[in-house]
Amino acid sequence: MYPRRLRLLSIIITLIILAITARLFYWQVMSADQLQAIAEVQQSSTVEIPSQRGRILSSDGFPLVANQPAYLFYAYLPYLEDSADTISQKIAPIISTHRQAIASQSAMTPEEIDSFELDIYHELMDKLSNPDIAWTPLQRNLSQESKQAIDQLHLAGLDFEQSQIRYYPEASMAAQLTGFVGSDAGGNPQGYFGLEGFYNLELRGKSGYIRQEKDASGKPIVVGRYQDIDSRDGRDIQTYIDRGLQFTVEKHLQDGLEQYGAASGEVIIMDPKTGGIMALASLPGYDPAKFRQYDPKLYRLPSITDTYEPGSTFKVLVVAAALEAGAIEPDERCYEDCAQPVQIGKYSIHTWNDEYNPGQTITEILQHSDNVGMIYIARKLGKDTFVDYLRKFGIGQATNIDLEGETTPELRDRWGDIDLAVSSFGQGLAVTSIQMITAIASLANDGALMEPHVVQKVISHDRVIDIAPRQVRQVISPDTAAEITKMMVAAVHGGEAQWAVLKDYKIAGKTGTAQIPISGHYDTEKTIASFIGFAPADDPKFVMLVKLREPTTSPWAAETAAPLWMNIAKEVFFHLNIPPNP
Amino acid sequence: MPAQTHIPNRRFVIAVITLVLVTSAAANLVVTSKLSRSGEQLKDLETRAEQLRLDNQLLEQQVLSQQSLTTIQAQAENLGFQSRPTQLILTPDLPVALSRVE
Repeated sequence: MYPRRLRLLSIIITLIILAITARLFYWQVMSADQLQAIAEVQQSSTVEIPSQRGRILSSDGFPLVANQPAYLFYAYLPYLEDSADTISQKIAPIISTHRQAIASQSAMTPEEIDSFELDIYHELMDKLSNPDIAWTPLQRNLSQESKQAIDQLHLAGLDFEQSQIRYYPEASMAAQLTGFVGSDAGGNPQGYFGLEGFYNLELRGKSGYIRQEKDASGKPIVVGRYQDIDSRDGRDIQTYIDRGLQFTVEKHLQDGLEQYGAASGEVIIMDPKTGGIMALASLPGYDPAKFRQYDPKLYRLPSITDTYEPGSTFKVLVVAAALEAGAIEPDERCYEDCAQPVQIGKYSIHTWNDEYNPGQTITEILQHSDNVGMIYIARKLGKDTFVDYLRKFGIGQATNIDLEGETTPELRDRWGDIDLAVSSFGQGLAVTSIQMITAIASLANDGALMEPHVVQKVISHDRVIDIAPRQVRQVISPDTAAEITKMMVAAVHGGEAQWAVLKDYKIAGKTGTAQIPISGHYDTEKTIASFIGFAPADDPKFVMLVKLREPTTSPWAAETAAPLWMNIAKEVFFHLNIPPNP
Repeated sequence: MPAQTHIPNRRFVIAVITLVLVTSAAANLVVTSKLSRSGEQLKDLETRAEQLRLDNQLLEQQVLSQQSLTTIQAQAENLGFQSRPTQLILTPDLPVALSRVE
């Protein structure tokens, strides 16, 4: 009897031990990872340490683009204590004010505000009354002021999650140059266009984490496990952009567009010695803080993305090439070839004013901006040498400026007589503004072509990386550069734009009035008027391009772009402390 | 005569063990309580640090706003300043009055 009971008890105990062992095996071995993960979630908290995106600084270190806090405003519906109607009524005016501040480009009438607020009320009601969801976002990128206003309402179930958005102290200044920050496919911040796009890897930071054990009430346990991964802020980039100059240039360009009735305009100022971009403005522009409200066509920086036929400004490059190649002499005279229109096949090429100057020198050809004289020079240069020098000046190649979206119009493969002829006065080939100013800057830099650059330093918390100026190649000799500079001075002070010239300064430059090609022919009325030049001619401190598209007061650059160039140059001389010539 | 060995009183041993256990338990309670409060303090400090970081950023934003050229231009116009129509450039030559003094 006794042994039988004992045996039964032994079997039961053995079974229990086996069951416990099996269960433990399941927990410890088979479900170990899953249970460990659940325990990790229960016992530890992970706090993200957000990183700051790097700032974009002007040459004086002032932020053109910085960061500011913003909030994702959301509701957790199970925790709401007030009705959806009450909450919507209370927060609709605050969100309305916030959205108006972002959206409005012109003031709204009281009726429009009421209607706008009512729409927001209905939107909130829909979200807060939805029985199928527990969590719903109510407003993204809410400002600090709006957050504080909502905090003061003390409504349960509403909360905020902090994030960072871009802040533009100078509003829309240099917007197309700086670009903007949107989101990538994963919802992470991503820079687009201009500097934000080009330097996205440098600017973006890396978030860090703090993982630590917590007690039942969610507070950290001081002696518990602690893991800390530091966040890494993005690097700041310091540009060559002179904030004061940029401000002045944009103001003058805006005035110029209105005064000359132009559709759009650009101004670029470059330091010829370094290739540093000191100012770059193009209008119409957009506000990067509200980029979604603008036509995406305005996001592009036309100076690097849009091509145009440069017209007569191109002539100085052709003359410089011919001088360097020894094809012409400055005092050489053009007789029969400059006496009448040039006939090439079925085309008859005239001067811009149909006046002809047989016996004129090369300097006078440039001064008169004489098309038939330019054909004479190009023919003496020859097709192959002509194309070779265009490539040396960077035409047909990317300038490699540090901005996202540079377009590179290619030079034609086969050059006929007519192509050589029209290209000699800047028609029939396409360039970008940045290519043009880079090429002209080489004339102001003793013939050395510099790579254009916007950023001069990349600054991280522990070091500063200087981006040294880069010489691409020596295109022409310093002597040839000095010779073409003299000719450009004569073209400015004795050319058709002489009435606008600043008398106290020696300026080298050239006007250009180019026709706009449309559907296989040139528009008969619309032009692109430009003026490109540098000063002081003896020791150039800046080179500047002014370009106006479709000016309506006059199609000629001498009456539009040239006076605007001089107006801006007057401010540049003053700003850079450049004294007049003695 | 065999030497007498002193055998501790059994009650005394139990009392010592009990005392040690109670003291340990009390100490554990105190330390746990203190650690719990430290956790709360740590949380407060973290919140405060975060708030200070935020305040700094908002102050920096205000400073930048006040230093922006748009703001400065608006304030200058409010104060009655105007753009200068001409520029005066001083040359290295001596002023006439000064050059006549021998």
